[in-house]
Amino acid sequence: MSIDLKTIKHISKLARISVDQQRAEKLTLKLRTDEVKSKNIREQIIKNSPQDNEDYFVVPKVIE
Amino acid sequence: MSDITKQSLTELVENIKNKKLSSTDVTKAFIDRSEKSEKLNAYITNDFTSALDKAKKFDQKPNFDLKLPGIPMAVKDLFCTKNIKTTAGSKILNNFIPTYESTVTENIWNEGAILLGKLNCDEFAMGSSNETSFFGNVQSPIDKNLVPGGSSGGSASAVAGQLTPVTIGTDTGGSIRQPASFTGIVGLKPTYGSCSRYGIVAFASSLDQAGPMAQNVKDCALLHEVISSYDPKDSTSIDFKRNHYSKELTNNIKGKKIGIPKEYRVDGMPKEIVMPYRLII
Repeated sequence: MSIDLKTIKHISKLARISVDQQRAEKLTLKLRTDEVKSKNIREQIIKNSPQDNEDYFVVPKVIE
Repeated sequence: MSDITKQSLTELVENIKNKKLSSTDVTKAFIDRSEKSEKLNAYITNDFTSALDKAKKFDQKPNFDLKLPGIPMAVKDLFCTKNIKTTAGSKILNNFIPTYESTVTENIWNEGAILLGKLNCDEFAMGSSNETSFFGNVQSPIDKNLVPGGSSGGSASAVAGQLTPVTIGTDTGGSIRQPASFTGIVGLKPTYGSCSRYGIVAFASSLDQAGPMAQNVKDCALLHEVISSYDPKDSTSIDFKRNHYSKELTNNIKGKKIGIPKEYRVDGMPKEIVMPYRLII
């Protein structure tokens, strides 16, 4: 989640810590652009699956 | 051989750079001492064969511009090391082989260091005496009846026992500083945000930090330089734009102010702790 000025003001109110406008601006956090950075790593990820499967992590049924 | 393991990190780096020692010499010495010190139970996994191979490869084509050229090093088993089992001291992860490397260990290998193995710790870093590891207790090299502290107990024991010249541990609520203190070595918890948490098994994410553990402050400064970096893969990572801790060492702290939280002194402290506290502080 991104942290905008509104969120900072809300948190500062809950925490009873005063934050002036300048400081609040420094604390904001923007989400980075949603772009694919890792490609073709399915094999690596599936390596740690408990069952031999090329596509999914197969686990015991946990919901009836 | 035993003289090699007595040397500090900075001494070893210098001796490798001026070719007084080879990486193979140094790596063999620490492997030898590690194999003879199994009673400490400091290691969970060792990678000695591969380490020796890497040392030989380094000697064939050395790069002396690196900060840790050919230096062998074991690390706490909380850092994901690619293709090397990473257990966090737990039975739950006893078959976990990471397919990626933590940022701080990647920094270390990029500066020429060689992995010796993974060091014992309290399970998931949740302990202060290294008595909760699935892989058994760690002994302090000072006395077999003493705990090394925790959670970086294996790390502290390994450095104090000279099984590795330096190491990195993690500190959430004291897990580097306390075992360092118990074993008489130097441990540093870096400022939060200066070392990336990517690839470290988390405990309390707003408190966790990786940090150096070594024989002296100079070694800690060098290792701290290597591991601290801005990492976009850790959203709490900060670019401090300041990474020359070695150069900032002046050997003189005269005139500096040291802040000591007053909460360090509590009621009912044992006499043997209160006395020196009164004398020194």
